[in-house]
Amino acid sequence: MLPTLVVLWSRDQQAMMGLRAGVQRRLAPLAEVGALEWMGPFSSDKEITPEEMVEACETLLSLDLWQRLVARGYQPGLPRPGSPVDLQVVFLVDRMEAESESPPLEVVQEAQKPLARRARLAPILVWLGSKPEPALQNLNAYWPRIRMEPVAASGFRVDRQQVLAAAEHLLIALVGSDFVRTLNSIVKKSDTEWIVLGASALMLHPRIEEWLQEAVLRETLAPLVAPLREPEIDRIEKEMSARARRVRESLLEEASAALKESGWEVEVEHLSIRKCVLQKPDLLEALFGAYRGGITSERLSWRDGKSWPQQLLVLISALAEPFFPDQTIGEKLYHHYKELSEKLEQWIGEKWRGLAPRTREEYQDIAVLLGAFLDRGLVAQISPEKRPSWWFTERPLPTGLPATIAALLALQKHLCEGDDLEDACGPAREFVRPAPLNDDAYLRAAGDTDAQIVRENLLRYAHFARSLASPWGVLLYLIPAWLLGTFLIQILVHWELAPTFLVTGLALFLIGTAELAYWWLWKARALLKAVQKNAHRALVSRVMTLTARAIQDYRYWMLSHLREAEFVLEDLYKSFLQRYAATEEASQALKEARSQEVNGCTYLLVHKEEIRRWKEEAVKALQEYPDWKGESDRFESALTARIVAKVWPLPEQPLPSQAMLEELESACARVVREHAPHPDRYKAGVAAEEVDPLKEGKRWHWLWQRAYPLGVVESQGTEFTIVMAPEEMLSGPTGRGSSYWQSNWRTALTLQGQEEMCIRGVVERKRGE
Amino acid sequence: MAWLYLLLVLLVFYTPIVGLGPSLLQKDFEITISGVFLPIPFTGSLRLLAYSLLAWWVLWRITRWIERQAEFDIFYWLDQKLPALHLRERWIYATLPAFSIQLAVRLAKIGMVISLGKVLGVLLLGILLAVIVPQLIYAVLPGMIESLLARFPGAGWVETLVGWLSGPLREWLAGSVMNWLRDALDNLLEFRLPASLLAISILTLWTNQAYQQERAERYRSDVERVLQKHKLSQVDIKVQ
Repeated sequence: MLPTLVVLWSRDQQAMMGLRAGVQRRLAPLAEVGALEWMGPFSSDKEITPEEMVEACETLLSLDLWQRLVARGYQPGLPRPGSPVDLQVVFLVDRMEAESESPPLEVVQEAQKPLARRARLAPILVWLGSKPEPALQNLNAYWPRIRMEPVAASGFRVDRQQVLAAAEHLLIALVGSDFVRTLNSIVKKSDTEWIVLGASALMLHPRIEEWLQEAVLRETLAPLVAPLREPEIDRIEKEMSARARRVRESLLEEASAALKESGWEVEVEHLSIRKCVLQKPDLLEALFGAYRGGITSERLSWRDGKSWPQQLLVLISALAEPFFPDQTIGEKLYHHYKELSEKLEQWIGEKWRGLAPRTREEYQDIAVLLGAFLDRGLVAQISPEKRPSWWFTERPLPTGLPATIAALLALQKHLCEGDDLEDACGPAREFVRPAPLNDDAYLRAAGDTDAQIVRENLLRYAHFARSLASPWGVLLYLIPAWLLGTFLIQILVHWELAPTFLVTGLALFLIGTAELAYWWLWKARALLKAVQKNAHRALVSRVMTLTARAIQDYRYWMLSHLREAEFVLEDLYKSFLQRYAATEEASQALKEARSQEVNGCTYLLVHKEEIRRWKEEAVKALQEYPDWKGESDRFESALTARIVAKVWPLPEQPLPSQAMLEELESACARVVREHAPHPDRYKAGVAAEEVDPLKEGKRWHWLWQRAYPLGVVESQGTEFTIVMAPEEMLSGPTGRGSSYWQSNWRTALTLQGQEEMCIRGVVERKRGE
Repeated sequence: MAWLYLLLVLLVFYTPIVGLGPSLLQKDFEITISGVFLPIPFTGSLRLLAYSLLAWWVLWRITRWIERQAEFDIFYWLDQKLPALHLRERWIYATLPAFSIQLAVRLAKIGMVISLGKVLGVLLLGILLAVIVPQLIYAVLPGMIESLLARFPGAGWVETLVGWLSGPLREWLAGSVMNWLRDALDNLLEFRLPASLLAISILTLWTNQAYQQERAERYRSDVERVLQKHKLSQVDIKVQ
């Protein structure tokens, strides 16, 4: 097959464009390689110049093109070094209706001159219309000179469309087969002025591939755009509610780690902080002194290794010498809050400038989990402890874009609602309001405020302790009572003075000791614990509000990203849905398609059984599309793998939905053309066996009849019939062995495996011979 | 200081066995009538009370006068020297434990009540026994009989009444009532009340009054001292 330049000459632009599109479609493999170039349609000799033709030929002289032709078997090899390259130039002149100027046939010869040392142009003339009179100049430069008229050989009138259809078949034969060589072996060039031809073809329906692409696209998109039923939405909503709660719990667990790093002992249960105790010794010392009985119920000895007498001494010392913090505790608290806030911010990342790895991991877990609504293959990426297996096993949740969007919306809704943190340390559980700010000024003000609360509480104890007498103070008050008591007892019981004195003294000692113990070790200790607890509580509340703030910030960050993802997915869903709706017409056309004669020389064939198989295999091939699925075998579908890789949830810059759709269409076209069984198994001859007028070899008769030569011959020469069909279709009882096959027919090799063509011709001898 | 001096006075005068109280109690004032020394009852107790009160008052007033004159607060000074004692905080200004701190004052009040009750009882019984009942028997009843007979001569009910007044009633008053009063007085006088109790009670109550006043004064001066110190630590801001 030689690379070919087709030059169109006609006033009927529309017909020529149709012709060109038809040839391009049928010779798609050759056209894709670049072995077919077009010029025109022209209608004036001013429009066509040798330079433009040379330029068009230049593209056909590309070494790369020739190497591809060789690689695909269209050429046996590259030309020998020094030999010019052979190119075909088909000059198609349409003179059937609107008269145009005479075509400048010499243009090919003029173009040959600059290309003389590089290329050898083989000009072919296809003349549509009555024989030009007088004879054109330079006509002899073209071979073969083919003529097709709207009047058939015996004077039948032929429809213009049929002539154009025959011209299309002829062009297919000229470009896609060795028709010219076969013709040369039949017809003697020197004796021939024109060759009048007729052409017919059995061919697959030209739109089948297009419709099939649409059908494959439809089947691929269908599960992704399938609408959700109300109960399914409710189920997703319910699961997302639970998941949102787990997200919050997970965030709190992460936050508690930051709190522990900052010196707080924290116990978390679901959304509640059950225990939150400051453990930083230097800060505790600065705030509360040596004794911290109101802050922790742990025995001091457990922590400090002190024996109980030492603890008692510490206690008595703390009770007797009320600790009062100095003026620097506000600053210390500020630094502590700042450190804590920085740790929490570090946990969520430096505010909106990117995420810390742990946070990113958490977000990606959620994103992957939501992505699993698109493709269950993503579930494998989720760690087993975070994998909600019930989503995908018993009564699995639905998949598809609507399900993913519904899950996204539900998750957003549940992440928007409610509070993040519950304070279960106090007597009554209550939700913690996040700190309104967490900037430096706020933390400084918080430190000062909390320092004041600590001071006020400890001052309350100090005031109380100031009213407590020491043991020797009580003794001084009791000495007069000793004497008075002695005398009174003497009056009442008439004891001797000495024993009365001693008994009274002992009684007063016991009373004093008991009351001292009551006030110091019970009341004062309880008050000291209470004020320490109150002061510590203020710190705990502050820490919780800062934690709630950090969690809220993170939640907002997550919500903003989920919102972006929602927009992206909704956009993709709309595009896919529109595209899915658009495939309806093509799908319907494919269903209704049937084998039929479309014009006098063309029979379009539809092999329903093959098409069904073809579609199934194409859908399967698209689901396994290697460029998309790659090594991610766990994905259920290549398309969802592609969406996951390029749109949601992993990439930061998602692919626009239109680009995604174009990719899908391109992949679908490629799969339909390459990965499915077409064209090797889908032969026109096989399809023809399903059609009554064509089966059992009748197709040869049909082809021969419909290739009736189009033109009246003045001086008739040789008649011939050339059939172009795949070799395997020529063998057997329905091939050459058929009763409808005539022995004088010739065959030509063809590229068109899915077509069978017949060209009948009559040679018009040169005048005077 | 009032309370400390109370302790000192109690130690010196009223400590059983070793105190000066017993010896002073036994030394009643005596009057000499025709060369006979007659002791005046209870004057020993009064002297003990007077000496102790005087000693306490003199000591307290002098100390306070010196403190005021010298503008010197001894407890403040002691607190400065021995801060661990917290003398003012843990003794003077302390109000808890309330029962122990107030016990001496309450016992003093009880002592006072008992002492006064006994004195009043003795006086009342003495008057009844020595004046009222004899007057009733020997002056009021005969006068009443005579008056009745003069106003209602010959009345039968008068004779009956006069017979009851001059007979059973008079015998009941002269016998049973007089004997009961005599026994009661003897019993009351037998209920031996140490004079020291009354003295200590009076001393304690008096001291407590003075102590509360002193405490208030010291507290005020402490506050003033703190304010002054605070004022001195302030920096004057001059607006130019």
